[in-house]
Amino acid sequence: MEITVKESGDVQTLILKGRFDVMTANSAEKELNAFLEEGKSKIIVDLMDVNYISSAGIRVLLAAVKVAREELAGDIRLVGCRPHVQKVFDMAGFSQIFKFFGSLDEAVESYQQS
Amino acid sequence: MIRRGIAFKLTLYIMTGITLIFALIFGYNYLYSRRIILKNVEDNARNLALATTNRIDKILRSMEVATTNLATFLQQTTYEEKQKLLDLLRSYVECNPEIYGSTIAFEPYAYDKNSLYFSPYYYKSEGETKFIDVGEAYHYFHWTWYQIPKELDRPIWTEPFYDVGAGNIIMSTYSTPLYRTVSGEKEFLGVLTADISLEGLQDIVSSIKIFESGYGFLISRNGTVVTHPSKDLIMHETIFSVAEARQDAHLREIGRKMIKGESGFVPFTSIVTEHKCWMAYCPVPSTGWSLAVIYPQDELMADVVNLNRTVFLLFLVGFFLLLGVIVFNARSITKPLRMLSRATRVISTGNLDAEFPQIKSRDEVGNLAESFVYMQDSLKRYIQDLTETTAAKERIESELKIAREIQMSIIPKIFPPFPDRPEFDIFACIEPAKEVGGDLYDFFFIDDDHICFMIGDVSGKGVPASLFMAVTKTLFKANTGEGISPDEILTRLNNELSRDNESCMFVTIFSGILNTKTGEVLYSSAGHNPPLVLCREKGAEYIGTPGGIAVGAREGLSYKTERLVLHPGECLFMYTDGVTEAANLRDELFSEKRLLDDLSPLRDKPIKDIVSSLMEKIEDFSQGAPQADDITMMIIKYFGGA
Repeated sequence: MEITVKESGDVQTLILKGRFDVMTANSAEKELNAFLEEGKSKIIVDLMDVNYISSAGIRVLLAAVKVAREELAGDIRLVGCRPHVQKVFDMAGFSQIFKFFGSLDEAVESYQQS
Repeated sequence: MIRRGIAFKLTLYIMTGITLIFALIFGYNYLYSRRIILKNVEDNARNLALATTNRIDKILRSMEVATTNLATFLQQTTYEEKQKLLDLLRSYVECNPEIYGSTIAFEPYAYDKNSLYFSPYYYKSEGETKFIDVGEAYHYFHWTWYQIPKELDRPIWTEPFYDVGAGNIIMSTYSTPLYRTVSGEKEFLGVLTADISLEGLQDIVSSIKIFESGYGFLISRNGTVVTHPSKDLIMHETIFSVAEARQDAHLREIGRKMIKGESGFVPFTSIVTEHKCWMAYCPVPSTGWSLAVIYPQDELMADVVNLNRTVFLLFLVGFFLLLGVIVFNARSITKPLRMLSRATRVISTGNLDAEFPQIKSRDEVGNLAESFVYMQDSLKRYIQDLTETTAAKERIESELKIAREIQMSIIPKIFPPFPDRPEFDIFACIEPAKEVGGDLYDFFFIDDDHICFMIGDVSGKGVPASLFMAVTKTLFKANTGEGISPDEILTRLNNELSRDNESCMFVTIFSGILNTKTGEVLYSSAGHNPPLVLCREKGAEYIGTPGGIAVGAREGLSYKTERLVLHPGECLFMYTDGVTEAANLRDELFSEKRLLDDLSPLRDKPIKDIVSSLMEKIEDFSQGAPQADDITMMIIKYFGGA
């Protein structure tokens, strides 16, 4: 999976491309932990180019959002995603936990508004 | 097994190569040296023949000259003074060593009107000069030495003959016609002859020594053998009669050429020695005879043959020496190889500690030996590692197996579970994937009329999922009780699971409570796949689920309880995503639609059969693609309150 890191102001963006599963989840986890340790709690994860997500990927996001929200008063917002990826979030009810945006810009904007 | 060893191969190829090269060189050398020798022989032979004929010719010519001189002188004289004539003749004979004898033979009555013949003849015999009058021995007028010069008007050499009357030796005569002028006309007077004893010529020719058995011979204008090592041929045979006797057309041909005055160099089979020879012949110009010199082939070639024989012997010696050297060398190369091969065989039986033979040579074989030792070490280490990891793996696998067994043992497996309760029936099964998984189901009575059931799917795979599965099952049951609604169960379960859940493992659950008297089902779902209701008329139908969030992810979540009623004969079919997400080799998924379609026609069957038929359909669909996730199904059929 390709991971691209972008910074715009105090918002960190992680753009993921490929499979977000047990093999690749580690690298995403490292990046997220790096942000959180530095106190950067305004995070966006772009899942538009993710073609598959497993419970390992979801767990990485869940763990990170817990820390972001409960310890740093921040958030992890998601951009995306493809229908079968969206289905995984919907079925398990996680689309109620995460905020989804149609585009990266919208997600960035959402941070500026709050 | 070594069939043809390296030593053998090396030896064979090298020796064959050497033999071929040798044969080539030898053959070429032999042929070429033959040719050179032959060329030399030809030159030599022709020269010898020429030189000899020159010698002979010189003698003959000097005789011709002397005779011609005398004849010329005689033309000028008168013949009155008989004594002077005789003295002249005598001194002519004595002064010319080549001349054996000489006569002036007069025409009848030409010298003395009274005498028919007059032919004074002086000749050398027994160291003296003797005299006879030839006319006393025979009438010479018709003899060739008299007639032919008379007829031809010129001097001739006669064919060799055996002169009984005059000298009793073999001789040839040069006779010159004599004339006198009578009344202005040239008149034949007689003949002046000079005889040459062929013994002298024979000596010259027989002095020809060519190697051991080479010789020369002389034939006359008619082919008569004048001199020859086989004395019985002399004067008795011609070259043609010999050829005839031997049926040798080739000889006859040579004879013809020789008397024609040709020169040549031809192969020849000697009459004398019966061996193959080379013959050079050339003419004696003055007499028209021909000389041949014979070069014996085998003696000629003797040197070459000897040389070649020696060379061949040297080759043989060298060959065997080389053979020995190569074999020795090759074996010394293959010896370490054989040692290595033996040692390797020992090691391959499993004895990795066997010693490799010490091969110290600093060549490819030594290199090979070193590599073998290195490989042996690597193998040892590798096998050690492998053994350790295999042992570890087997340990883990056996532990996993046990874990799986424990896992399976905590879910109810006896069907039918409540044979004494005719109001309903439950059947469930888990078809596990390869790995230890996280699917679970459970059912138990909360009180006499209420049976609680649940089906769940823990996120992920492997040991963590199975542990979580065990915990979930236990906590779920612990949180049930009389009067506790499904949503409350889930709420409590969620709070407990979410606490101290750093890895954020979650589990989707569908749980419900069936009232066995009324068929009413209160249910709640935490992110699980929507079940289906099977009813006789309408077929299969998905039920709407309250859509809660999977349990364990977040504390403090709330859930909703919904309600449906199972009429007698209706079933509630629950499953995990191992069913809908079963994939085939083309990566197509079984899907909710197919589940619906396949389930509908099965609704009248006994619940066990519904499950097994559906399982079959899933297997057919996946067509050998490996099973990725646990496939779990649970079905409850309501028959009606008792």
